[in-house]
Amino acid sequence: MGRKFRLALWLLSRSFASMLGIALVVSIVTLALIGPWIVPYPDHVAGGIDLANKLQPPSAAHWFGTDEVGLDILTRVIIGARVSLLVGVAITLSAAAIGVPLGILAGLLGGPVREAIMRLTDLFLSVPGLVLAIALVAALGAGIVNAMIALILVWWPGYVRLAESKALSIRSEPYIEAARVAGASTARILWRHVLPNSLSPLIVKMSMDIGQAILAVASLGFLGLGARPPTPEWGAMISIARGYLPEWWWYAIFPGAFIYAAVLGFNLLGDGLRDILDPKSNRG
Amino acid sequence: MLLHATGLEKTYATRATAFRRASRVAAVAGVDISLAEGGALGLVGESGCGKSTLARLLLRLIPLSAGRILFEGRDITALPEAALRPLRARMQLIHQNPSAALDPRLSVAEVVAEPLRIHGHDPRGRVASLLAEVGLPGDFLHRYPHELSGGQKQRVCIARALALAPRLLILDEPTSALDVSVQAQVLELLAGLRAQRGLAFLFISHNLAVVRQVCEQVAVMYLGRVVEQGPVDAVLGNPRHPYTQALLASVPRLGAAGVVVVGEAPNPAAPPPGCPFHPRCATAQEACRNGPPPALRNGVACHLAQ
Repeated sequence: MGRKFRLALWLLSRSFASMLGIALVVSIVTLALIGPWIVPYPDHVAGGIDLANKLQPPSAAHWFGTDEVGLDILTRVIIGARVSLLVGVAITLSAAAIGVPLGILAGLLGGPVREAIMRLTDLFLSVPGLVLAIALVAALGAGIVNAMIALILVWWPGYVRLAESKALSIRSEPYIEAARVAGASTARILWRHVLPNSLSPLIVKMSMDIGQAILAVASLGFLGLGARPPTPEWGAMISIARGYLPEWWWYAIFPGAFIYAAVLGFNLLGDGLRDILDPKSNRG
Repeated sequence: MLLHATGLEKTYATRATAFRRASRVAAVAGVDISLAEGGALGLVGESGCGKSTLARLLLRLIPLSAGRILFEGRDITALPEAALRPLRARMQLIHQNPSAALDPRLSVAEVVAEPLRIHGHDPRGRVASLLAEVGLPGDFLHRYPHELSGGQKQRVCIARALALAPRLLILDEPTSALDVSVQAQVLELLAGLRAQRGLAFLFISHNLAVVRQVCEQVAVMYLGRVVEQGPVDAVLGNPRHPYTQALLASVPRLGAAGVVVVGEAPNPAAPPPGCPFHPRCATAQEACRNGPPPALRNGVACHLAQ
């Protein structure tokens, strides 16, 4: 295992893009974890008003400037990482937890089960995800939890598709037949052969989806359908900051830059993982 | 008899689409196979003649349409999978393409240990001795399939098949995916293992020279039927069925212009009436076009050879 791990690190370190992805993801995760203890103005997290300091440009006291009610943007952007990361990971994990078992089941069993699962999936995939999510939030009511529920509901079909196609192709591999000849049960074949061999594209997709989910949550926040102010959420912050462009540019730029960095980081990480997880790149 | 199968049939129904009518394809159409303990039966024929389907029927990997299979004297035709599992240990399969037959995520040690684990044996110690038996050194244990050559992969597959001490090995063109130089080594290994362990072989191949080298008995298949069967020397030395004659003649030889089989194998979904081989048969007569060929009698199923 040690050898494999070192090899994985070495493979990653050869690619600048993967290293950048890891650096970005690690920084954002670190910020999210230790945020409450390092932010300069912890009492600005929950909201409040300090009109004397409103819309201050970046300075030594406020590195990223202040917003329209005088709150420190650096503080709120760092705390915003917690919200975005948590929501992005939760959406992706939940969507995968729903989609992957359904997909593998569909691919392995075939027949009417597969038809039922795949047609339902097609139904969801036929509507643009964000549009459907907007409609769902509108029905459920705005708020971060409802935004998450809506995004999970539009996100799982992608996992069904991917898991189904992998299971379908793996099902007809001769090594599955070899396992059957050896007397392996269906459960064992699923667990030992089908799942491990379909995992790597799923992990790659999950890594990239965390970035996409962060973007989607920010989009809903921007539209006023996600987190409500004063919750420090990047999309919601940009939504307000939009009205203060271009004179008070720092208000929109810094949350925007964090969204950009988070999405880019998870995408690059996904690309790097794809290279590592291919068993054929595992030369030693 | 180790393996005794009668009347094996496998029919696939194709569904109607906008461009095609529904049809039934007989991949295997009434085959009898008998294999004695320690015997070796070669199964030859063109691609698509049902050899591999027959192998999978015998191993109960695909459901039968009709027929009966006795393994070690026991009727396994309708045995449920759970009851079949202990028997699977004694009937194993070697695939044509060893690269596809190995899970790319499992090391050699894990591959060879898996059948032992499934059947509740402790794989420790046995994996290395199995590898030694197929001629692989112990340092292969922690390698992965993509690090091995084709011949080495096939040796790993053979070690996996031997792990449960089988009585019957069904070999589905075990050397056709390998380099010619490696083929001979793998065949030699197989022959040695057969002698040592008293294995029975059902050896599927389209290489007549290999079958002649490995097997005592041979069955020639055409379009899902056995058209000629008997001792290797008799069948390949003095073929009676025109198809067997054509197969032998098609083996390239220096300086000899053999009779080549004309045309392609017919579509099994719409086999020609009468003897399925008559459109390609040089000696076909009126009877061949009208009536189906006689059942296998005296080792041959042909209107003219009776």
